[in-house]
Amino acid sequence: MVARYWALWLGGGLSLLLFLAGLVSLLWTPYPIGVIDVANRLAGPSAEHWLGTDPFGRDIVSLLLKGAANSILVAVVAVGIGIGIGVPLGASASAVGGWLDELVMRLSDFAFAFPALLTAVMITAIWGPGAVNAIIAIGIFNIPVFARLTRGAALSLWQRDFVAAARLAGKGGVRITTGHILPNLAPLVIVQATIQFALAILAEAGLSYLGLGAQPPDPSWGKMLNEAQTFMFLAPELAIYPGLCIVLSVLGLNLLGDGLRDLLDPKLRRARA
Amino acid sequence: MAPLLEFREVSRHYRLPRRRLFEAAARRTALDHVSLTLAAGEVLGLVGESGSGKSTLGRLAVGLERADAGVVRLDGIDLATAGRADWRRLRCRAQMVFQDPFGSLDPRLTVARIVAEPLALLRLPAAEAAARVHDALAEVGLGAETLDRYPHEFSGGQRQRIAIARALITRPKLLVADEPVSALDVSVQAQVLNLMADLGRRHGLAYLLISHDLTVVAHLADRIAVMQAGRIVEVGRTAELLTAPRHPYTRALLDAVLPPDPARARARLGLVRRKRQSGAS
Amino acid sequence: MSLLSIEGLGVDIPNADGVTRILDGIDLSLEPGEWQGIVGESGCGKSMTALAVMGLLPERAVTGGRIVFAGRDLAGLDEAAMCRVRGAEIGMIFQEPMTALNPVHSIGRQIAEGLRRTRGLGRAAAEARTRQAMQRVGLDPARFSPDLYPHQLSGGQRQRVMIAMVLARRPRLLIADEPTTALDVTVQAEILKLVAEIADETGMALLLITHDLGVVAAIAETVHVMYAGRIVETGPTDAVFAHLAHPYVRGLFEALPKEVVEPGARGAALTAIPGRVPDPSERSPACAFADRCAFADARCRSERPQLRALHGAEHRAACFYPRPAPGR
Repeated sequence: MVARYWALWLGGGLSLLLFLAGLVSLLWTPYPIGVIDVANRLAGPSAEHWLGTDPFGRDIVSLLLKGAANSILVAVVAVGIGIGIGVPLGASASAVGGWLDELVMRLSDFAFAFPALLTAVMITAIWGPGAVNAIIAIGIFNIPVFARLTRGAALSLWQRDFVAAARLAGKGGVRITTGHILPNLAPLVIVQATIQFALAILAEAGLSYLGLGAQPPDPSWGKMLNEAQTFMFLAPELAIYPGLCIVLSVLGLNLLGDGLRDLLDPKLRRARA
Repeated sequence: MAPLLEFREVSRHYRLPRRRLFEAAARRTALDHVSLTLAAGEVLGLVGESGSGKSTLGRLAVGLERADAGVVRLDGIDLATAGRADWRRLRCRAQMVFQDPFGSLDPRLTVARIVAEPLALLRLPAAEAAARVHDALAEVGLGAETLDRYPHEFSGGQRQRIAIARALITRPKLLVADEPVSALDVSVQAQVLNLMADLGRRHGLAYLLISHDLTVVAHLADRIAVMQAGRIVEVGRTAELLTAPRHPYTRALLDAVLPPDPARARARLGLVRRKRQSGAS
Repeated sequence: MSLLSIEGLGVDIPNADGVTRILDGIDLSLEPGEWQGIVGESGCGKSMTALAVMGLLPERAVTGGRIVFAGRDLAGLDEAAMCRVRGAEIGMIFQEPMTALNPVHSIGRQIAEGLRRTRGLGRAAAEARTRQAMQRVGLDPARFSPDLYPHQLSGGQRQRVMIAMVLARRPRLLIADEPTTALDVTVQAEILKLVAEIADETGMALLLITHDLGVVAAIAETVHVMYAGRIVETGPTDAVFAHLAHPYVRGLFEALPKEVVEPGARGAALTAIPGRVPDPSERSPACAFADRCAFADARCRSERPQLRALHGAEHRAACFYPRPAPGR
């Protein structure tokens, strides 16, 4: 069982690790992150500081944990915006059809025409840096992804006979959407959400690297990468730790998403059985 | 007595996508001035091949689609002008069973919820609703243990029974069955056909039985209407239609049926087989 | 020497909990030019048998037994050798012509492709043969250009293209898997007739797989009835249909509505077979039909019936209590 779904297990494990790290950091970190201890700067790994300290003497492990919390927060809310607005838009577009469908699809086309990350940079640069604006900037680009996904899948669901049966039971568009369409879309949306989550973490890291994401003293992996640049030859591990965190988180989420898709896709399931 | 279902000069078109930007969209005629009546308690078979419009006519009968011309009257009410209260009554009166037993049940709902869905039209108290669900399942030969299970746990024949239970729960007078047994194996077809005949007799149900399979229709129907390219080419009582068809298309459909009898089947096909050189035995 | 000889064919498919037996001891022998039919409901394994002969089973399938074609054991052939057999010596037509034809190639190209690969013909010669083949299957070159694409044709016309593709290579054996099931009933008869005529002309052997008793009655000289991965009755078509010895075969026959062929028979309830076809993983090692059979007893549930001759070595049924022949 484990061998066949190894991708799912590995991805799930890494993702779980990510969430646990973030959760733990909310309650406890080995050292408070606001405190600077310049005397101890750039220390190597030791019993007190498991991974050493950064250029300001802050404990790296604490920074990584809090960074995890930051990444998760941004990703969850951004993807949440995408689902919360995108899914209803896509569902309505497919249910109403006609002008609403055209409007939603053309708006999506319009949004896709912009390079997401650069536009996010622009938004945060204009409105000001900070976690909130980063969330909004990333969230905006999640909306058309979910709108398009929902609309496409919902359109084919509307053709199914059980929807016709629901109409014969006197149900209108809204009740059919909530009772039949959305529940059947859930697996697809969940899989896409895991993938978008990974992309959101990458986007947040990118924005923070440019200084447009979480602001000091809140740590973020991207910012840690930026600060590590000047010390590349002196203490390369300063870049490796946050870099590895980003890579493992994104990898874990992608594996989880792929594994879930294989698990939930009925056609693939039959081929495997 | 007024017919239960009446079609008068009904037409339905579909618009095809435009091929050129300023050209008018082409139309495909699915139904062309179709007139037909169905009396209460009668089984009317609708036979035709693909593209004949029989499924479209069935969907018009229950109001899933609207006619572009002509009048569709169900239980005396003109579907084109029916108001909300009318529709609620109509939906209770006429229900539909679909072809694909795998697609007609929502895979995420339990059997209990699937069968109970049309009860939303009646606003019954919970206890009575539950009792009706029990009864409906019992009528189709399924027990209470099916209530909490999901469609994928059942076979095609069982799913079709669940679909029939759902269609009967509002005690309709008309059941439109669109290829109800086409997706089922022969041994299961017979079970479902027997069930439909039984239920029809017990409840005085009228059926609009739609199928490309003349043998299925001929077994249940009192009258048969033959459709081709959106038109009805012949209507008549089953026995007469089978023994003395008038329209050449009807005759072609009858001739195309291959009986499970080697001599007659070969004759139907008009096969002349030369003697093979090497003997089999 | 028989053209195709299947001996004790068994196919197992591994799954999450072990192995599922799909085919269980299939024996079949086909002479050159002979027409046989395999009839059964969904899940009985009839299509799997055809795929096994063609070497087209899923990779994970484990096969036992022998499949001997024209003296050669097909199991011993590698994929390249099997490719040469497919098409050139054994042709196959499928149920769904739309998915069997390549939608992005013209029909002329698909018909010619087989010709050029197996007969090494040049382009001009292949084109001429293509036109000939299309003419033979009723696609008049005046109306149907070889440059048409599959989606521009109707179901029956696509099936004719598939027949032309197979025919052009003149195989010795044609396997037709539900060739008319997806077609309109008036077209079915035409296609069946076409297949029969061509088989007659070319001396091709025909293995017709279908769920339709009427179709097999019309075409096959010998019929094999399959149930749950096994052959339960086999013999000359006339004898099998006259006798209906095995309870399942009899049940299938009686479950058919017969008003169209016997207009006086209206109103009587159909004799349905109770229960349903067992899942491959649920099949009994004894008689697979026992739990649905009105005549089953303890022996049927504990011992597996083998095919045994009824009268005349040709007609055999796998039943301990076959019905006695009518009129004896």
